Amino acid sequence: MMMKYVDEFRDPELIRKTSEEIHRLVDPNYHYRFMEVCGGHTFSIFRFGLQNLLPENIELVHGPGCPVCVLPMGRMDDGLSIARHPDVIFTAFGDVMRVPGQEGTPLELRARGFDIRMIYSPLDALKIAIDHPEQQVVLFAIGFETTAPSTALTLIRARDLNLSNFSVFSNHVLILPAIRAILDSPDMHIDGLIGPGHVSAVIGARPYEFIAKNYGKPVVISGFEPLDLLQSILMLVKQMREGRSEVENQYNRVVPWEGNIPALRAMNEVFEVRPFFEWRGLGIISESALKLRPEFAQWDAEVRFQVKGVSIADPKATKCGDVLKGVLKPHQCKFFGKECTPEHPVGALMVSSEGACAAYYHHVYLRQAVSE
Amino acid sequence: VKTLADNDCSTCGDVAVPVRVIEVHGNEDVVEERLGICATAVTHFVPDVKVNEILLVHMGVAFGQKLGVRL
Repeated sequence: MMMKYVDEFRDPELIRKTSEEIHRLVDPNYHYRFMEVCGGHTFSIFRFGLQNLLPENIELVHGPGCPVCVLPMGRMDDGLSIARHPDVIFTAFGDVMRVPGQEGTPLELRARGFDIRMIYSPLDALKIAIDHPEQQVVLFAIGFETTAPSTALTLIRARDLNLSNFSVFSNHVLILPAIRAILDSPDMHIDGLIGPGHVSAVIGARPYEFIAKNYGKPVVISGFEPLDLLQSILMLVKQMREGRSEVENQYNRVVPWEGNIPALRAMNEVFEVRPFFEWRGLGIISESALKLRPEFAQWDAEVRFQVKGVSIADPKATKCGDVLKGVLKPHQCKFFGKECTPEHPVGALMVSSEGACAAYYHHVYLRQAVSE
Repeated sequence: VKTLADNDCSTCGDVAVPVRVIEVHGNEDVVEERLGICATAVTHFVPDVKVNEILLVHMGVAFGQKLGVRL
């Protein structure tokens, strides 16, 4: 059975031809720097060894698109302070369960007896709240615009059910302010952007137009398979070769130009933009995250539990910010593979499998270590 | 290859999975991914879902429709 979604985008012959086309079209005297914004793209690049299929003068810079990685430790501590309340059932997605706060991860807290449960969907947390009316159920919500609509839908249902024992601790962030912050960074030079795939299925392609117009950088929204990414890189190279800076949609089998209007409407009904939010590795970025609107205050865990808003600096010796901005490669941080590993992450980018350091560790560093 | 979600981070939307609609029940429909695993997906964000239609689902919620994809 041929599956268009995966198999055709892993076809070795098509991949070889696309790689050859990229080699043929690049300017050998220019060093290209393309940023893949999305952690899923970073993961695919390392997993499939795509850098090896590119000319040496195309450098892929790994961007900030892993929501778990950019979550500051202070937010984790805030969330875990809620989890310590005696009548609270604290729910979180699987990836969050191993993100360390100052006093451990959610998994470690659960081992100490706190009621912390892993969920697959925000709606699972709502069901737990319905099933346990005597307890407060808190959803630790996280993610970019792909997951925010699901949280919004969950909150709309909580409101419609007039559910009083459910609340959300929102850590939802927005991709465009992060991209803008990176492009504005004085030590950053990027020639083009590989735009996120499934975030764009929600927000559409149009919001990226400011990057092409105001910054003169080409953007290609990409899928996650090897051929998707190579084709996107080829499209970026072609745009540069032809002197164009446009938003193009390589992933048009999934991403509509206008996004998903009902999902955007639900987000807008429930959330408003925070004036500023701290990103691990990048610092404070204005208007880059979502909080619940006042109309949803009774389901806002920050209000209900009077969360303090702890701010904890990242370990200074780690170079997460430099890796996020593409100034350093993961292995150039002196903590990489020593104090900082996926089992014991020190820096943000080692936390999730889609963090640049964790992906590099699993798919390059370990393979090299084994082959040596 | 087992599924698109192999080894990836579920928090990020990158691991959204294409599924086929098996049964339509208002806003919560039964869907099947390509290995035959069935689940319920909320279809609040995708209007007028029909049986056999392919949707993109993440965390139990469909947000992609009219995909140029077959399973």
